[in-house]
Amino acid sequence: MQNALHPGQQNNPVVKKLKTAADKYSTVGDEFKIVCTTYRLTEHYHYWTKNNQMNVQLIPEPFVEIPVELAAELGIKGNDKVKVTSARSYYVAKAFVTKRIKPMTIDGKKIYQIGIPIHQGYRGIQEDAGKDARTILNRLTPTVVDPNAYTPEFKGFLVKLEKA
Amino acid sequence: MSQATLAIRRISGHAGPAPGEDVERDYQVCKLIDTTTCIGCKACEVACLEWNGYSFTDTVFDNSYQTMPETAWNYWNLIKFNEHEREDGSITLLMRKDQCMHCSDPGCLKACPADGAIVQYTNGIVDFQQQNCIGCGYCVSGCPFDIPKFNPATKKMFKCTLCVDRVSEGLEPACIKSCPTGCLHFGSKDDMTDLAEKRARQLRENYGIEKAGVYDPAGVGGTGVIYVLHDVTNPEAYGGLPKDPHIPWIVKFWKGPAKWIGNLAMLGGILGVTLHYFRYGPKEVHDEQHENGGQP
Amino acid sequence: MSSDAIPSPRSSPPTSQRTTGEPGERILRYTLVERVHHWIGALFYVYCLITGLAFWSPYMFWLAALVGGGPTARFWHPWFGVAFTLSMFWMYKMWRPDMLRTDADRRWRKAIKHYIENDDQNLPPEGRFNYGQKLFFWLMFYGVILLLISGLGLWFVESIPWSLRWLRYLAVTVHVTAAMATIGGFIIHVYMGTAMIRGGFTSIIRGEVSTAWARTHHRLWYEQVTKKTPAEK
Repeated sequence: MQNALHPGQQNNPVVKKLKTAADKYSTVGDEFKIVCTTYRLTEHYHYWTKNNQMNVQLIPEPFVEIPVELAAELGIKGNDKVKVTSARSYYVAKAFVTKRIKPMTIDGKKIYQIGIPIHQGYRGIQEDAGKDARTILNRLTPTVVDPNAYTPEFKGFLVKLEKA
Repeated sequence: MSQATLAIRRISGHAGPAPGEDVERDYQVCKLIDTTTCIGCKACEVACLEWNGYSFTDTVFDNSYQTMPETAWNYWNLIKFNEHEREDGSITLLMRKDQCMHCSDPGCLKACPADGAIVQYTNGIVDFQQQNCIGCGYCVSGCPFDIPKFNPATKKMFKCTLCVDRVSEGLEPACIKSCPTGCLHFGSKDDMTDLAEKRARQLRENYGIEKAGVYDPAGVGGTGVIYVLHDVTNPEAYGGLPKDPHIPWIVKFWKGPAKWIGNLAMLGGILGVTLHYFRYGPKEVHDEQHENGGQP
Repeated sequence: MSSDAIPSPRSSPPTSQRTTGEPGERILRYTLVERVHHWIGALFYVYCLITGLAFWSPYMFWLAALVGGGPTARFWHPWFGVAFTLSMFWMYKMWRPDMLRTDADRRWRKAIKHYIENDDQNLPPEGRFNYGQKLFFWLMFYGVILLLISGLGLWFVESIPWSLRWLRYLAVTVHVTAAMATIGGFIIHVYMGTAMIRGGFTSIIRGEVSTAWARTHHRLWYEQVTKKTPAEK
């Protein structure tokens, strides 16, 4: 969507982007067309609760919340294994097909958003038992920070979604 | 095990009335669950497990935040989630804490054949006494809310006890203590009904939630657990809360008139054959040498 | 069979124990196998009856204490019910040919008043089993099938999903009704086998009856089994 204030300049020109080999960024018009965001659940605290049986009981497996319309388009049903890929890495989890996320219409185009809780990772109760894919969500996110305050802008990025 | 200080109003499978049948306590206890302020955090699920000493179980993700499909013998309360689509197409995530409703007229107690396996205290709590339970599962047929659950290892039935052990010491149940939003309340039935009605009125008048109301089903004589619902005309949307729960009429018939009919029939049969013998005597075999048939 | 045909080989005594029909002789009415099966079935049925009555009424719940206590009684009731079913199926295999309705039954049934009033000399003759005994056999046979199926619904009640809960209520209804029906038959069966028909009880223990008994109560059967003596055969 065009920047209304500065039509020729889409992004903040002095935004801090890290430049290591792992830091690749997607561009407009490439294969990554779905907006992704990350968040936390009430039942887990950050990363350590995947080592606590009580929390693992309440939310045992990693999942990706997908709107019903997008799931229908891609032929994904609830509990199917799906793979989310960004310019940097990928993430594998089960699909949670939900009515609670609605598609958006931006600049006349239909844009989908998916949401992923952060809590699972490489080691943990389920991970050590081989019950999930042991991929880490933070490998998907871009490392972009505000140039003044260094506030991270990790929670809005583009991905593609497919069945795993 | 019931506290000696608690009087018992009703006993399952008991020949004759219970000792505390006519005793009226100060109040009936009641748990009020306000589904309109529940955030689905599951603290109540965990508190119940921890208070009752149950270890954690293996669970599986099934396209929902819900921990498991139904309560279990070792998981007595469960938040049921439902992404409900209203008539205008908008979505609301309904969350309801599911557990034993502690009915005033409990179907489980009516169906139970074992003497003293299910008791109802004078404060309204319905409690399973596992030492008397024979594990037959009749309570499963009697309950209109599908609550009693069987433990296959010990062959006993289990359900929420409304923390009778805490309540009898003057404490609130574990789930109520743990609730962070204060959507769970505990007190006398009268107080909780007042509070529930106030909240429902507030929702209707101040927030425009026109169908808000209190769920306290009369079909089971009212319950020791009541809900405030956004839409009291559609309780089914809240994870299958029955609209008009009552003890199934087959169970009522089975434990009422059928007993009379069956017992009279059996008694009648025995009396009948006795009278037949008095009147007609045995059949005689007429033979010069053999009067009694079998023996030479 | 619709006529007074010769009973099937199974119901005739084995050759070695045929009689000549002389007065004073005893006739084998039930073989050892038949008697053992009858008593095994009886034992299983009576256990189910006692425990069933305990579960039926609070005033009879104490019966469970006599047969193992509440949980034990509940554990064994369904297993013994299955065992009784198998026993009943075996009896079906043994006795079905003898239990089919015959013309003799129709005649006997019309004169049943004489049987009830112990006026047996005015009764038409009957085969190995009379009409009443056949009725009891079929009552127990169909009864046990209904008891088994409905019993499974009670035994594994949680396997019936909530959405199909009407099946749970149906199971209760069928089980109670079928049980009551078999209990009625049982009361009459025990009465007739012990008090009413002298020699009946001995016949199912020792297997033998006197010729007079056989002539009086089951004349057609008596005539069949005494027709073929060892010499004639």
